[in-house]
Amino acid sequence: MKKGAVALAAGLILATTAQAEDTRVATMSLVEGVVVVNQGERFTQAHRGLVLQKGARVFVMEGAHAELAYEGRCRLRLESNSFLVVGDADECATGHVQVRSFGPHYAAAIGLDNPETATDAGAADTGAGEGGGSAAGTVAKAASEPAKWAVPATLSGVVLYALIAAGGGAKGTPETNPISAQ
Amino acid sequence: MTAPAESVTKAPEAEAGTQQRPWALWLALPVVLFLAWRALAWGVAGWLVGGDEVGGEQAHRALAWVPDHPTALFLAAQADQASDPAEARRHLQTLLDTVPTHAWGWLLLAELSADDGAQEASRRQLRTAQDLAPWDGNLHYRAADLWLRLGDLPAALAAWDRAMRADGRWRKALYPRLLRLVEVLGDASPLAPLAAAHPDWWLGFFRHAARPPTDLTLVRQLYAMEGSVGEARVQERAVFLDRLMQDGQWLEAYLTWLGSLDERQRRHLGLVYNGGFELPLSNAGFGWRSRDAQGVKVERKRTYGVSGDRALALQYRGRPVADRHLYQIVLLQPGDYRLTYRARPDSLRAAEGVRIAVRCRGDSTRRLAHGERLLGVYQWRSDVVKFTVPAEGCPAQEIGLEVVTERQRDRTLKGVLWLDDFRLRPEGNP
Repeated sequence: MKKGAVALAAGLILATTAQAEDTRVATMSLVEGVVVVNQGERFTQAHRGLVLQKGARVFVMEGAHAELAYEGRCRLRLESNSFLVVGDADECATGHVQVRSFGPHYAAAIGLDNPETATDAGAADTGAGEGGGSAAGTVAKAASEPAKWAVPATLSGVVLYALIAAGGGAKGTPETNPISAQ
Repeated sequence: MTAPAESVTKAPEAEAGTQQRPWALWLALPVVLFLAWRALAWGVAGWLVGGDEVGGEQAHRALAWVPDHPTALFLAAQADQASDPAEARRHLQTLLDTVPTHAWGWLLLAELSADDGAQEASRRQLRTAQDLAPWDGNLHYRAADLWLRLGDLPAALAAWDRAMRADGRWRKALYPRLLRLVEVLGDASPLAPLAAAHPDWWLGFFRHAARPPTDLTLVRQLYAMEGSVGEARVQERAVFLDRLMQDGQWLEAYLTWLGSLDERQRRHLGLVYNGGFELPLSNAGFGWRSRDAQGVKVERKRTYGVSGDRALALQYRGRPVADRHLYQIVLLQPGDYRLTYRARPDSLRAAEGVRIAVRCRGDSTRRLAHGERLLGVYQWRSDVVKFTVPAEGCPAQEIGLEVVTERQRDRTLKGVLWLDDFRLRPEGNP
């Protein structure tokens, strides 16, 4: 009876392990800053060596970055403010990683038409240092470009005044009567 | 007995005083008359320029009585500014010779200089005006207009900042103009120096600017400037998250919200956040939100049978209650899910009760599933709600309380409902 219970438990453990192995897609090979992973019900703070299964959601917070090592030696770097749903084991090697990056807000506002950028290739590094540009890389490039407002800022003072200063105050605001201020 | 003697001894002095008085009176009379004249003249001049609506004619009449009356000089200069700038400048020169600290005089002089094309002089005079009246929001408001005319945007913005700090009433007028400015420029970065000082008006401005139809990229840029600190920053973030959600930017909102949680808060992260109500309700982002304070009071309390330390008590006050008086927005991938929670109605009276419902957020608000009806009184009881998030048309979801009333007739509830231990997990393969 006791032997039977042990065998059953061992079988369950083996089955669970096998299932986990089946869905294991990548591991976190580098974590710097706050990176949060959602697998199943719970969210956990990512750490080096954390096993990621298919469907895991990886949130890389502002100022953080992470690297995933896929089975088959393909590595994927995730930059600050990005999000990834872990897919199949070969997604990195085939360059079909769905990384979505946001911001930094400042750069997004001045350089990009659509600050939310999805990329197929992500920052996949297929071992030999090859790979396409990442979404976060695109954002960084935009940030280094001259700010758009440099052009409108050259508008003459008169034009600026006409555009934004004329029209006076709204109802319920103090009158611009200097006598009241004396 | 001594009094008559004193009167006798003082008599010669009194007589002498009487003899001298006419001379003294004659000497004093011009001074008295002059002072009386000045008092009369100043009184009349003051009366002429003392009204609420004073025109140039009255100011000039006042100057006829008192040529160096400061208010009259200023008003006369203001009246002559457009029609006779040279005369206006003479009035201002007299005014500033008499009262060198007359801030409004310097401001008007700066405007005249700008009209003459003397931009450097205008800038100098304008700075003097602002330095002389740091408390005068009215003056800074008008000074900003002149800075704009002079093409000095940073100085104009600084003047608006000073106006809003000096007098909060200017905010209502200036929020739209600040927003108009960043919209015209297509960029909010000129406001960065103001934001860096964390002015107390920033949160109000951000609230104003974050509303549609302001371009979302500008809103993002303003939020990234971190113009508020402390509790104001928390409120600013809540406004920003709502705007992102309103525009369907669910993932960006979630990432922003997630990044704002501290380590303690992250410990309560699940697909439902703070499901055990161990943390206060944040009323923002992807945390629990409560509303309808008239109909229900929502509190975290200790009671028996809770998991953790506290549960949520909804105390209904016998008034009609709106749907979604308690809800949380969640961000789930398409798939099957299982929501569990525990509830304990305590003398909860209603026509048909309340229930937990899961709905889509976004373009569609269709209900995905709902839990059992909560009504009457019973001990803690668990409930399970299974639902499927469709692949299309349901980008975010909401878990909340709704009033069960098929006919929308009676939404009145009275009594207490305890809730605890919300858990949500995917079912089957993720």
